[in-house]
Amino acid sequence: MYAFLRRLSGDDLYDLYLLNHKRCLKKHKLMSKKNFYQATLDKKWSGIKRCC
Amino acid sequence: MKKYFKNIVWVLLALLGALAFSTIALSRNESINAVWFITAAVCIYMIAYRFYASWIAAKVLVIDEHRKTPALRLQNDKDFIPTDKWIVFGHHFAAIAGPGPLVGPTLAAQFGYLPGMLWILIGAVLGGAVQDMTTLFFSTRRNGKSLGQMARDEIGVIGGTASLIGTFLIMVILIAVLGLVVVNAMKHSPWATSTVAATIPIAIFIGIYLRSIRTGRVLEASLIGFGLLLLAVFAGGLIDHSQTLRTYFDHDSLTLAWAIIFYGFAAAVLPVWLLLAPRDYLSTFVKLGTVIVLAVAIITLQPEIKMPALTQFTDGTGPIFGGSLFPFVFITIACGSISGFHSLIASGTTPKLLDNEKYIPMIGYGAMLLESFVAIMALIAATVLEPGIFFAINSPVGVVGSEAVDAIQKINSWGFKVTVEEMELLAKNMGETSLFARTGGAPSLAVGMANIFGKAFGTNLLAMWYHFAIMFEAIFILTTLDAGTRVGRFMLQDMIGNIYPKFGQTSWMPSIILSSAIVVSCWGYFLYIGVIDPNGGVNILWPLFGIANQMLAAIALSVGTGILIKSNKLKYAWVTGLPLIWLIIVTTTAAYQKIFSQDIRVGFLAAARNLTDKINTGLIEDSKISITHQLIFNQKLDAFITLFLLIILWTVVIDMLRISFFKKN
Repeated sequence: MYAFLRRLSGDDLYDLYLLNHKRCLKKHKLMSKKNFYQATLDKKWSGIKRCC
Repeated sequence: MKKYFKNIVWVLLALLGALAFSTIALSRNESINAVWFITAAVCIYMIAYRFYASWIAAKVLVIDEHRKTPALRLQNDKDFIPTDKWIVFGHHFAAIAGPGPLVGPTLAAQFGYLPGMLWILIGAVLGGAVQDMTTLFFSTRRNGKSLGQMARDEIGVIGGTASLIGTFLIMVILIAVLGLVVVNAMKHSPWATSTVAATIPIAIFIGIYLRSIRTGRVLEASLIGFGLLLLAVFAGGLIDHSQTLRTYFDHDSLTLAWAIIFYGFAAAVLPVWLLLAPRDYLSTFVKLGTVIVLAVAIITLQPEIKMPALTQFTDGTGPIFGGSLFPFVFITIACGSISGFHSLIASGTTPKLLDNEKYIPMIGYGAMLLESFVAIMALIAATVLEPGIFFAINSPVGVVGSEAVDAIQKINSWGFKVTVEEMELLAKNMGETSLFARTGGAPSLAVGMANIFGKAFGTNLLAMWYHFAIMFEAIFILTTLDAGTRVGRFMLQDMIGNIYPKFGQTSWMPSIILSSAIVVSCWGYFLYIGVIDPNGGVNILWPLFGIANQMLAAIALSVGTGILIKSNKLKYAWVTGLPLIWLIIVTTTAAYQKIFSQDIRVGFLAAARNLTDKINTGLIEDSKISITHQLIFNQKLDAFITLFLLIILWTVVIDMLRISFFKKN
C-alpha cells in the first residue's frame, strides 16, 4: 500500500530513474536528485496539463 | 457454467440500472433518494465500459496489444516514458478533472435534477468518453501527436489553426469564469478569503520544502501541506471572529478580482517549483480525499433530493442564466459530460506515457466515466438543498434585487418556499453574514457539501465544513487558473516566436513578463466584465465557455470521424459521428440564440440594444453611464466571439467532410 501511494504521488520517481538509468540509459550522465527533480517539474509544466 | 453465471450478473446489473434510471426519470412531485442516482450511474458506467468501450476497442479502433506504443519506441527519458497503467490513469484523471464537473452541474440544477442527470450519464457514455478514448488511440498511433497537429495533418491548415485559436480562446474564457466563481465565493467573506489566501504561502512553503529541504519527497510534503490547509480553515474561523483581523479580509468583488489577476500574473512568471507544482500536488490530495469522502457520505446518508425533476425555468426564464433547456443544459454541463479540453490531454502527455495499447479503454474511457461520477455527486450536493435556498444563493442581484426581502418575495413567487429567517440562520450556521446572490455555483455547492458532511460527521461543525468545501473548490480553481495562465503564456510565446524568434525563448525574461501580462489582461478583462455585470457574470461567461469548449470537442470528433472514414471504416463512423452531429446542433443553436435572440438575458446584441435604449431614454443614472457603455461594448464583443467560434466550427466540419469523401489519397 505504501509503495503504491509513493508510486501514485510520484514520490519514488528518482528511484525509478536510477533503476532505469542502470538498465538502459547508461550513455546519459546520471543526474543528481535535485537536478532530476527540477528537470521533471520543468518538463511536466511545459505543455497543457490541466483542463476544466 | 462460469460464462453463464457472468451473463446473469450482467443481466441483473442492467435490470438494476434500468430500474434506478426509470425511477429517477418517472418520479414527479415526490421525494426521491440520492442512492437511485448513484445506482443508475454506476450500473450505466459498468455496462458502458464492459460492452461499449470493449466493442469500440475491438471492432472500431482494433486495438493491438502487441504493437509497440510511442512510449516504448521513442523512449527518451524526457517526453516518452513507458509508465505504469495506474500512474497514467492517475495523471490523466488529475489533468482532465478540474472544477468544471463541480460548477456546471450545480448551475444546470436550475432546470431541475433530471435534465442534468440524463445529460451527464448519456453524454459521458456516448460522447465524452468516446471522444477521449478515440483521441487517445489516434494520437498513440501517430507518435503522440497533439490534437492541433492531427487536425492539421488530417483536415488541413484550417483544422489545425482552428484548434489552436479555439484552445487559446477557451483558456482565456475558462480562466475568467473560474476566477469569477472564486471571487463570488470570497466576496465579503473574511473566513473564505483568508483560507484561500493562506493556500498561497502554504504552497510556496511546500515548494521550498520539496526543492531545498527534502527534495522530491512528494508524499511527505503533501501530507504536511494537507495538515496546514486544514489548519488554515480553522484559523480562518478565528480571523472571522476577530473584529480587527476580519477587516483585512473583507473585500468587495472588484478588489478580489484585482487580487486574482495579480495572482495569475505572479503564477505565470514565478518558477513552477515555487507555486504551481506544490499547489498541484496539494490539490490532487485534497481532491481525491474530498471526492471519496463525499461519495461515502452520500451512500451512507442516502439524502433526499429536494429539487423537482423539472422546474418552470426550462422555458429559459431561469435566474442563474438565461436560456431554455435546449440547448443550454448541454453547454452548461460540459466537463462531466463531454469536454473538448480533454482531447488536448488525450493527445498530450497521456499517449507518450502509455506502455500498452490495451490500456486505452481503461484510461481514455474509464477516467472520463470517473469524472462523470464526480459531476453526478456535484449534482446531488446541489439538489439536496431546498430549492428556495438554492435559488436564493445563486440568483444575481440584477434578477431578484439587492434587498433580502425583495429576493425572498421574488423566489417565493416562483413557488419555492424560503424565508429571510431561514437564510439568516443558514448564513449564521455557515459562518457567513449573508448567502444571498453568491452566484457562480461554488457557495451553493459548498452549502450542499457542508450539509452532507455535517449530517455524516456532526452538525456542530457546519461552518468549518462550509469553508473546507470553499477551500476545496478554490484549490481546484486556482490550480486551473495559474496553470492555464502559464499555458496561455507558452502558446503566445510560441505564436509570436514564429515572427520574432527571440520571443519564442520561454526563459527570456522580457518575453515571459510581456506574454504573461498579455494573457492575464485577456482573461482579466473578461473577469472584470463578469464582476461589473448586474446579472452576475455567469449569465454571460459560462455559456461562452460552454460553446467554446463544445466546439473544441466537435473539432476532436471531426478529426476522429475523418480518420475513421479515411481508413475505410465508414460503417463505424457513427461512433464519433453521432456525438459530433449532436454537438454541431447544440453549439450552432446556442451560438445563434446567444447572438440573435430578442430576449435580453439570452441574446448579446439584444442586451446591448436594451442598454443603449436605456441610456437614450435617460433611465441610467449619470454616474453609471460610462460603465453601461462598457457593458454594451462587452455584449457586442461576446457576440463577435460567438460568431467567430461558429464560423471556425462549420469550416472545420465542412473541410473534414470534403477531405473524407471527395479527396482520395
